[in-house]
Amino acid sequence: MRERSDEALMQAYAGGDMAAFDCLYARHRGPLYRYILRQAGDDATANDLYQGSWEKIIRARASYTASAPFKAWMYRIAHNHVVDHFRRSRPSSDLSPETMRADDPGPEQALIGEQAACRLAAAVSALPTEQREVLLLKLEAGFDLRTIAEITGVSHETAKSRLRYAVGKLKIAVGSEQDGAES
Amino acid sequence: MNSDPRDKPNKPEFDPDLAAVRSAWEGLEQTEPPDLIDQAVLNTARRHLERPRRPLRWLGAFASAIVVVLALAIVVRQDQQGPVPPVPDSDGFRMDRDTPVPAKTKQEYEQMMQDEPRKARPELRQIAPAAASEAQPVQGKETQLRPLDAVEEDAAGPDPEAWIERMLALRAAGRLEELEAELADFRRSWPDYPLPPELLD
Repeated sequence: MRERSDEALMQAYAGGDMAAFDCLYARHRGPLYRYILRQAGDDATANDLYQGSWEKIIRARASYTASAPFKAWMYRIAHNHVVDHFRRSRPSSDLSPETMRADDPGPEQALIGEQAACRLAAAVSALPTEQREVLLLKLEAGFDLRTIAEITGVSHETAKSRLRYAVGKLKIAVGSEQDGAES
Repeated sequence: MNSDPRDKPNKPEFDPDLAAVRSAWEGLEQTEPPDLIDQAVLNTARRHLERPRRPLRWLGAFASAIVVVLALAIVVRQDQQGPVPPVPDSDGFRMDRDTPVPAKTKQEYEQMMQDEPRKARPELRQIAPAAASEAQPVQGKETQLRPLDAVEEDAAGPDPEAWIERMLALRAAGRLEELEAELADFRRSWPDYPLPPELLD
């Protein structure tokens, strides 16, 4: 049986089909959650932002038109929700060195693979917010640069530049990870 | 819950640095949202479907109520004000000249004019007191206001039947020049009034 598109599922849900929403949610829950979690820095904030993003998507179902790609529309809503949250509570919840250290591997995480993963996650957390978001939209959601620029509200060149800087910084972390694995 | 297999972008990476980062990224734990959050989101979605939005139903009822209240307020206000009074002219009489003035009223008016002729138009004195004070009676006579019948007769002309009778009398008396003058005046005043054949000759 042919798989229904995101756009068709969203329209079906707006028309009252709850099963369509179940399918849509199962399709996007993981990437969207990780996109928010990597930016929020902690599970509690991520859970709130994730749930709030879906509530906004649900409320906006009547205004959705199938001519717009659903996935980009959904991530734009999530992006705006996350940005609004950090604008309201930036002084207390912005990623501080303490927050970043919480992602650092502890002594109980002794396995090398886990250490490498934590180092990579910490490197992502250490990125400037704008670069981190572009990187997450690329790696988690798989958007191209044009769509990333639309979602974040910047020019294509700006999005491209941010991604290049982010990849450059992560490459150092990945390189040290590989070095550590070889030694 | 299972994530869609399309989650992982499978396009070939032309940027080797990005490819290396992606490879390391895929080694990260694929964190999933907690089950409680999943249930909360799904319940929210279901609740919104069970409670269909009716955004404008209350607005229509509210607008209807406002219209009814305004209509009632207008009706009540008009009842309190009573019927609209006729607009008086400058003499204090009704402007509806087709309505006949009761005879008793006419007589009272004429009596009032004869008793107090100078008080008949007090507003004129207020408007032009200098002109009123300079006005002197001609040859010692008091200015008399004419009876209302005479005023109306002047305005509409003499009674046509009486006029015709008078013209017939002139004809019978042989006063033809006066008859022609009267006839000309009559036709100016009553252009459509039928004349007896004696006067048409």
